[in-house]
Amino acid sequence: MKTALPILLGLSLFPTFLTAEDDITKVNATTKAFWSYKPLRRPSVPEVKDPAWSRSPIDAFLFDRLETNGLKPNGPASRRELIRRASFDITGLPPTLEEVEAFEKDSSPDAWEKVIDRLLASPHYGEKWARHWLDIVRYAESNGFERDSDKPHIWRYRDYVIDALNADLPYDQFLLEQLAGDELEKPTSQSMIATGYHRLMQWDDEPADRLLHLFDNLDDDLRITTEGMLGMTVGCARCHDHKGDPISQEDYYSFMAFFRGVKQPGKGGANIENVGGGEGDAGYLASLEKHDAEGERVKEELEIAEKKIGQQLIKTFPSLKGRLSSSGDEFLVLLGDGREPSPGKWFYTTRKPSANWSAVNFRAENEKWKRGVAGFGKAGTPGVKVNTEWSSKELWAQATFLLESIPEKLRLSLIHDEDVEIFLNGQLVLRESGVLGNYKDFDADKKFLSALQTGRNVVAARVTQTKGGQSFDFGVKSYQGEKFTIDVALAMAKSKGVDGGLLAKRKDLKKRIAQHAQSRPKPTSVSAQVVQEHGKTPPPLYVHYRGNPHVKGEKVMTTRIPTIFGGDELEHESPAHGRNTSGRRLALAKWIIKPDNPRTSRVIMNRLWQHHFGRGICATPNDFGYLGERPTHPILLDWLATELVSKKWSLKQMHKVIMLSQAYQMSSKGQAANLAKDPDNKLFWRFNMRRLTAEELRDSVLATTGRLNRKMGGPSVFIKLAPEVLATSSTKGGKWGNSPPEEQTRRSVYIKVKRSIVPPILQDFDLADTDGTCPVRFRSILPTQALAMMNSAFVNEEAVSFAERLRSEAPDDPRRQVGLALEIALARAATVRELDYGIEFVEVMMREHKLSSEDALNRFALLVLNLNEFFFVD
Amino acid sequence: MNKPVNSFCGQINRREAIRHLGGGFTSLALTGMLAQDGFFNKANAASLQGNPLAPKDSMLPQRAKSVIFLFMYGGPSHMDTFDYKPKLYPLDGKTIDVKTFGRGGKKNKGRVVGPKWKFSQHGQSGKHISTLFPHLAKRADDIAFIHSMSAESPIHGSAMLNMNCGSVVSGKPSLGSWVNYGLGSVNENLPGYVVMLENSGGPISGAKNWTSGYMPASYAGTVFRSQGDPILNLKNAHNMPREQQRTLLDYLNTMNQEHLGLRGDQSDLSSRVSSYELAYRMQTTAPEAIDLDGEPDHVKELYGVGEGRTDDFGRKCMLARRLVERGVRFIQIYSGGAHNDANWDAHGNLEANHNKHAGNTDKPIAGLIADLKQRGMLDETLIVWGGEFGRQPTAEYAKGTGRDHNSFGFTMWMAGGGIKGGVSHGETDELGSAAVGDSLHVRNMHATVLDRMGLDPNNLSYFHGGLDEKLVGVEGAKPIHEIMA
Repeated sequence: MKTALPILLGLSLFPTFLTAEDDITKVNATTKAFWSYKPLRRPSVPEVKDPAWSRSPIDAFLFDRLETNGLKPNGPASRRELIRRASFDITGLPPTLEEVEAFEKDSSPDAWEKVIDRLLASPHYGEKWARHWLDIVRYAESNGFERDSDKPHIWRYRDYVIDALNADLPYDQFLLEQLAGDELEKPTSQSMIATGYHRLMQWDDEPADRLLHLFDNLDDDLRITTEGMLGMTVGCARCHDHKGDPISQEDYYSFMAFFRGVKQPGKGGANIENVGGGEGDAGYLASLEKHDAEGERVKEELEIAEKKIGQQLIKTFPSLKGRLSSSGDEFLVLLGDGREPSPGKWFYTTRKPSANWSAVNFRAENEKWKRGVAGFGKAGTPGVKVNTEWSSKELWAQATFLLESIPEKLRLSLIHDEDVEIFLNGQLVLRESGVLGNYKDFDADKKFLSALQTGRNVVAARVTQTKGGQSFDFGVKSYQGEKFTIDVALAMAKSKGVDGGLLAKRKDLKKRIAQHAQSRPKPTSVSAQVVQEHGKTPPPLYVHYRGNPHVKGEKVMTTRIPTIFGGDELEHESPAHGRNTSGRRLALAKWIIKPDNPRTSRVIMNRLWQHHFGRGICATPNDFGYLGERPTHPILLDWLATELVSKKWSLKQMHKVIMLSQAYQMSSKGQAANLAKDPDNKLFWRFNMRRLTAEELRDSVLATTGRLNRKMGGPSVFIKLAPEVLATSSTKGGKWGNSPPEEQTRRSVYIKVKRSIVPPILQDFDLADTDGTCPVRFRSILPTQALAMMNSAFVNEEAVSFAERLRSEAPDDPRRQVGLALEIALARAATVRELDYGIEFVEVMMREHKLSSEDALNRFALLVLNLNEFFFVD
Repeated sequence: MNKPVNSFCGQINRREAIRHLGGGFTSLALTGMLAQDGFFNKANAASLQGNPLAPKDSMLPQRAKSVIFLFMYGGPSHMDTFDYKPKLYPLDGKTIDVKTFGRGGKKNKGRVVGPKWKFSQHGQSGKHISTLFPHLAKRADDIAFIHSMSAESPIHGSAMLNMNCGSVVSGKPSLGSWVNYGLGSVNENLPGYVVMLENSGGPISGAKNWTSGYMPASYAGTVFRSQGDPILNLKNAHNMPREQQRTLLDYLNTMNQEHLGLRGDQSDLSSRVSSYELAYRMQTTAPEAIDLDGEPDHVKELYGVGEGRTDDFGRKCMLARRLVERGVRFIQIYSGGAHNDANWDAHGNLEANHNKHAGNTDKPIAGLIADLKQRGMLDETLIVWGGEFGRQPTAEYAKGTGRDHNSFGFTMWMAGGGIKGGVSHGETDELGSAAVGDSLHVRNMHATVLDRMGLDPNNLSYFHGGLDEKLVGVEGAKPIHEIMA
């Protein structure tokens, strides 16, 4: 009777008995040809007559279907509607009136494209779209059950998702890092943090049945992967062969084998590692290199600018010729450290030299010491500019510099890892121990100065190292009395004859250099919850009879993908860098991100479409199987999927492709004829109007009142909750914290996600439940929402803040205050009628309800935050 | 009236849901529900229009219209309350072989704690009830006792989820959500599912106990307070007078109408306009429902309202009756909150603990039954009494009378709509350590509640994550026919 599923095929409501070849629970010609199981191919784009609907392939696909069905697509939305729609879709925040007006006035042909580019470049993009992904992976920061204990550091995973989206990390890499960022050839701190993906589920610290709970957790991990990444529901195959898809119970357990080694969440410090950037972190080294290269580039710019300034100064004051410090540097370099354009040359050895090695008369060149340029160290040791590789325990080095006279002052520079002794002309002048992570510049002390001699001066150094990286560098510079720095020359010349723009540029460059030096990436200690496995060989896995782990069936011998996808056994090996894992997740991830995987690109493009158009091309985004909905435009989806792959999995580029289509720019207005034929807008003849999501709503309120704190990232914040809400917890205060006021106005994506306590302002508006993957949120409209919007402390406090903003921006001008309220909240100018109406409201509140003018405006602010126009996006 | 209709987590809006109906049928087909043509043929697109809580026809003859679940949080001891174990008294202090599993893990031996209260027989049925419940004992003939209950976990966190949502992991909708999903609510001015908590705090896992899980939040329980502001955000901010609020709403509506003018086909916009009117009405109906001042003294006396220790629970029971009168489908009242002795979780001193909690609730519960009966409401109101598990016959520690958790066997009782009075069903062994014979699972209790409410427990399903989820699980469960009238 498995085959008596006529409706699944979308054919008829009447039972039809199908042949074995049509049995959709088996791998056969029928199932292999099903839209989401069949291989992904680039479809050809239909030709359509309407030129406006033929520029984007998306439009051609849609228009073709609309025309066949006798539907006429809507015309374009107004520019205001469009930019408001795009702002919410991409950043989750409303546009400002200025942004709307600028777009309305921009008559350039690429005006729309510029808006898209600006929005996609905004860091708020990551905050908005991360939330969509967090719904799918049921992101939460506590474990649930009796203690609902915290998952320490897990917020880094949330930040990882935000950052990855903002950096447009290719989607294949994004999946790879989450599934197996620890098993990559070169894990980075980010790829390690990404594996927090496996740590988000509910977890009971005292389950009645430990074995069952273990497999509940593995099942949970497996489901967010199969449903989230592959659009495949496999839950029922845990107990028996799938009754609606060609997935057998054996398929299920062979797939679970990929996850079998994963350790379960645990109390407190379990699965927590230091993933901070250091010499083992390719990401950190790359960022260091990038930073230094940028620094060099700015310095060169400064040199060029100063050269020009010097030339202009010399024109006015010829006597300066030859007396200007060319580099703008006030020092004469005697022995350059590694940072100088010409670093000093040293003799060095790593083998213990004879006892007189530090004496003046010790000639290193005669002792077969090697020649090397400053500084010394192992690549990647923080701070030092390495020109000569040194990676052994000890280093002896000698260098010389010449002096014509004994200076009164000298400037020294030093960096070392670890202990260092420096001799000058045979005398011990400096001794430092430990690690110096950055160059130290300092004036020579008396001891150093008194050891100087005219002519040849010999510097001898010995450095010893016990663990970690190595570094040593030392420099000597003299202050230049006889030369003028640019600063001094400029001051003397009172900048006469120098181009003002050039001076401003120099000032700006110097500021940038200083700031840049401040922001040099530092090796840090970063604690994160990461995935860990039980070892290179995971514990054995058995098929569970009826899903019961206590009733073992056959041993699962292979890690393989489901038969319908080819059933390949995936080879794997433990990562070479010695991490104690099986490599199984990496093997799976590599299969999932293969460009020809029939699901991965289809699934993510469907999600992109869903969040732009309000409904996926397949309306069940986690289920592309027989139990899911059929796609309305499967060929278009295939086109989008292949386009994503050809764009190297760049989501930002695909957003742009979608938003540039005519379809995205359509108005949401009704048309009687179309409403009669396609009331549900199945064929996308209009844009779908939508209510704001919970986060968009709260963030919009804060943006409107001007109190939104746009700070990004970091540990989650606790917003104020009513005592009644905290009283629902079994512990006093519900272990809910209290963040400082300025933190409480941050974007909703940063609010603490605690399984047992959910802030009502978000829950009332259909926040996703965190116990399972949520592909599509509900969009309910309920009286409790009206109560929250009229009476909650949050909305009322914000309404007062909003009114205060109006009073300060338009003091003593009620009509302007009313107009401003509508302008800010709705991002459009108020009509005369609305102004009259608003003023009438304020007056009625004062006259009939005896409110002060202040309170009357407070009420108007509250009213505006409750408008449908504020809540819905056309 | 409409039939309950399956919907998706994948639901986008109501219009979308209509489109999803095909998918709904799909899943129903899988559990063989196509066989029940009569049931599903009536489902139509219109059935998902409007409020998800709109009233729906029951699937089966309805024996009860509302449920009052008296949740004895922490786990009351069955052998000290309703499950008479005469042989346990003389064993007091003796160490015996008995398999137990509780907070302290699995044990094979233990020191018996003899029952600390005397039992005597009550009513026509001659039911043995301990002296902990002198008032309730007078209602013995209205009650059906189930002595062979078992649950999947002897640990509070997962056991609470098990008792409320049918599963030891979280994410599933609670019993009250299923009832509201299946039947809708007949009073749109009040929530269909109300939860009342103890002042000492909520139960372990808090809101997870009345969650709607993967169903829309409109099916979740609403926390109601018996005094003050019954529902969060119900009271106007700034003490705004009602006339002023009316003016505000009128101006808001006018401006919303203008916006709606160009978008007449967007039903969400007009729904939102009417949701403000509903909320406005709720603001009077809900406080009116909790206003017990008008209740006559003799009724208050019945519930123990105004009598110190029973006042709080008495108010909640009286409020429950008033909510039932107003059509609220499911009401859950917690006896006990927070942790340890603030609820029935008697690990240390059994006597002090149970004297306290039984003493606080005995008269109110007896009063509730009596009051419902005298108003002719008892036969359409289903009362459920019990905790997430029972307690062990042996002591948890070397000293003292405290008992550890016991999910192998414990007692719950039901009374009212569609339930036989004066019966006892099932039993535990002579120590009370485990159910014997055909033990009953939490699922059977859930099945009984759904059945009595007119919902077929084995066919009431909700399609989610590729599965037809049911409260009673894929295994299904029979209602407890032995106690059903």
